[in-house]
Amino acid sequence: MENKEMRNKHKILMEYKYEPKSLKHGYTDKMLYVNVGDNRIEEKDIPEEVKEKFIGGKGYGMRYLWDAVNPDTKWDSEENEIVMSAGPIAGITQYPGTGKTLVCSISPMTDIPIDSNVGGYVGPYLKFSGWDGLEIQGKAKEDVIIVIDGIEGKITIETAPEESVDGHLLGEQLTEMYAKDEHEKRQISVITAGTAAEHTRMGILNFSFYDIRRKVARLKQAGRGGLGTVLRNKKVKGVVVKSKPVKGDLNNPFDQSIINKTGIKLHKEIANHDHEQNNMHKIGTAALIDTMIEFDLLPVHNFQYGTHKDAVKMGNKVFINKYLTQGMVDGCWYGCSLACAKAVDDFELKTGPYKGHKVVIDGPEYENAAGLGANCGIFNPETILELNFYCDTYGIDTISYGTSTAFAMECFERGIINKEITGGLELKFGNEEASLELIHQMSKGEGFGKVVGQGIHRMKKIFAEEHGADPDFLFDIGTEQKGLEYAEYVCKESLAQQGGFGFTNKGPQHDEAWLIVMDMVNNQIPTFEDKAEALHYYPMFRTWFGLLGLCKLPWNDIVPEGNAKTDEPAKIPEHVQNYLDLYYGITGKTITPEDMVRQSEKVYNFQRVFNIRMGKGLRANDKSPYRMMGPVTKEEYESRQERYDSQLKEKVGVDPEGKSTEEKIKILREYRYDQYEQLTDAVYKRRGWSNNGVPTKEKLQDLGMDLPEVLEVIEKHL
Amino acid sequence: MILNNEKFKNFEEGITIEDLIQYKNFNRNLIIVKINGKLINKNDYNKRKLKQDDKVEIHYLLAGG
Ligand code: SF4
Repeated sequence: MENKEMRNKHKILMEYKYEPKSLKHGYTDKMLYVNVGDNRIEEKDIPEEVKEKFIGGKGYGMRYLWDAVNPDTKWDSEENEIVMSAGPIAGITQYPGTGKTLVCSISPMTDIPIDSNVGGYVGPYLKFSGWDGLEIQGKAKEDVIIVIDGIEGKITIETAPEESVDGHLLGEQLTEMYAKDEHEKRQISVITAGTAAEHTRMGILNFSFYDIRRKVARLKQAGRGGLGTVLRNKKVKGVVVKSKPVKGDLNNPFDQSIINKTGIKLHKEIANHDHEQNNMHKIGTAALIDTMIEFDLLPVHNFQYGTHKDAVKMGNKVFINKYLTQGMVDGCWYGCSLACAKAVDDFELKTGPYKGHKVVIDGPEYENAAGLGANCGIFNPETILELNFYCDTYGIDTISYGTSTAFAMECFERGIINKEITGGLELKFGNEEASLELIHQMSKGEGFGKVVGQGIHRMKKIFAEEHGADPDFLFDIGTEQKGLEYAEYVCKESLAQQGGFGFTNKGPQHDEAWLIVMDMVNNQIPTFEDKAEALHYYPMFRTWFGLLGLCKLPWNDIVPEGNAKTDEPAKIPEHVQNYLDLYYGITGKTITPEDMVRQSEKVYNFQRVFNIRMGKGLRANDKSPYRMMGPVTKEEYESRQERYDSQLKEKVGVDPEGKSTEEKIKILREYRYDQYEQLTDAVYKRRGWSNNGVPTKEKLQDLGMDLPEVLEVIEKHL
Repeated sequence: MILNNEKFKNFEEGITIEDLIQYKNFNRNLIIVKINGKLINKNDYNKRKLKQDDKVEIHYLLAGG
């Protein structure tokens, strides 16, 4: 059906006219509230106190989500919201990495708040249309779209019965439908999910940006925690945001010149050094693949191993030379010269409903290659790309998909499940056809794909209760925590990274702290106190990006000259100063590095208490499956016997000589559990939490976060 | 020789920083090298021979996830 015809079938359920408020110093101080259940559209003034304590981005997401839900709210409750906000710096065009939106909701995977950051133009376009953030609440009775027209000053809720659900089609349809002409497509950004988001818990949100050279709506993903599942449960098919044309000063900053100056400095640095450092402009985050192989950190066969003889088949050069289109301006927001949003053009699909179509594939990001590929024993780059495409368009989180499928494959190989249970799928490591079939099943809501789409947490329960599996063994090899699947790094040899995953608020995602190299390779943080300090500073520092609407990559994926001469090179002090300058340039407020950490601590602790309010967020919830801490099985131990034997001798003080592998595994396990407990004590202390992981009253008072509703939650646990 | 807070087992008299970089397979554009607390210039990586009592730090600045 033609787009015009589709649009003619829309019924306007609600129309709301407004005067788009211009930004001042990065803010409009307005929140847009849309209830698709009773077709209500309202605007809210954001109080000064909320702005001061929560800053924007994830801070606003958590604050407004807290107010919307109660301790009994589930992901599919009417009152659950999807809240998104881009933060005050987002939308400038002079400095790389300034277009991120943070999306929050109660997660179908974890039952606690999730936050996920995403590129694409939605967040900045919302700002330019007059809104610091958007709340979507309620459940529609039929499929709807929300259209926010910041040019006309009009918001509509419209039925959308005919449009596709899959992301790559819907992104195109809505972009074309709401643009007057080709030129105006750049002013449109669309949120979609996909068909599998309707049948699994791991649904994603795709945020589009129109690629003028490729003439296609590209998709970036808010991937973690099932946000797309929530969107489809609300029967929202998509959200369209139409903005006035982008200009460099739409944030109406306090001091434009300092922003320009800071931007020019970083652009020069990237032009001079990216090619000799991480090569982001050529390969994107997949630049990590070779290094992960080198350091035995690439997850292989459900995190059992850190490398594989076939891993070179999916090495950096393969993607650069054979697949990723070079020489394009691949930024996911205006002005990002690091340009890591790489794409594969004219890829002909071999399976599924779009077989034979030639498509543009975004990625693969490192996580996609590692999760969809190596962790499932798949090293064929074409299969990785095909899975990547289908994950995006069906609306599935590549990390949860990869880690969950790897778990199911290990269960299959160990006889915990069989072909009868999988509906005939030979779910062995390396079976490319089986993985592709699984993903198509997820889209249709059929077969074993539906089971895997529930994620590891729920698969463990099903396998134990219905198929008689040993729950302890499943706990060991099921790489999830708080209900969320681990991101794709083997962290057995880095205690700090075990904590970096384990003590996260949302579940084991790497965006809070990535300390593997600092800890394992450099041995820079040898004591518990050193690790605790790193597990305080880095999560707080990185949280700041999520408050302001920033991308983490231009902070440390490019390093300035002279960095080595600074006191703490790992923190990239010159770039930290850049952020302080940007903050000043936008808001007119001068802050110090300590203030940045403090701003983050406020929101971080609020989120921790939010977790406790929803029934998680205590010490018991920060435990780690042993697969992420050490060798669970004989095969794992014996594959790295020399390493483990020498650790027993040197670190544990036990002579491995004459001991069976089982005995050695047991001793090593006790030692590593004890190390993790000691690390937990040290980190909680450093963060100002009780021994049970609860932020103390004193800590909250010190941060100015002793809000009555927050104290009410913690008082029961102290 | 101490490398990154641990005794370097494969020490051989006369090895240079360059040898260590190759042994570790680091990208030399992403590392910071200090010997006994003193920053070493990239141009000197193959000149300075390491001694048994040197305390060497090679910090790989790989940004990662
Ligand atoms: S570095 Fe990559 S992910 Fe970050 S803003 Fe630039 S293009 Fe987007």
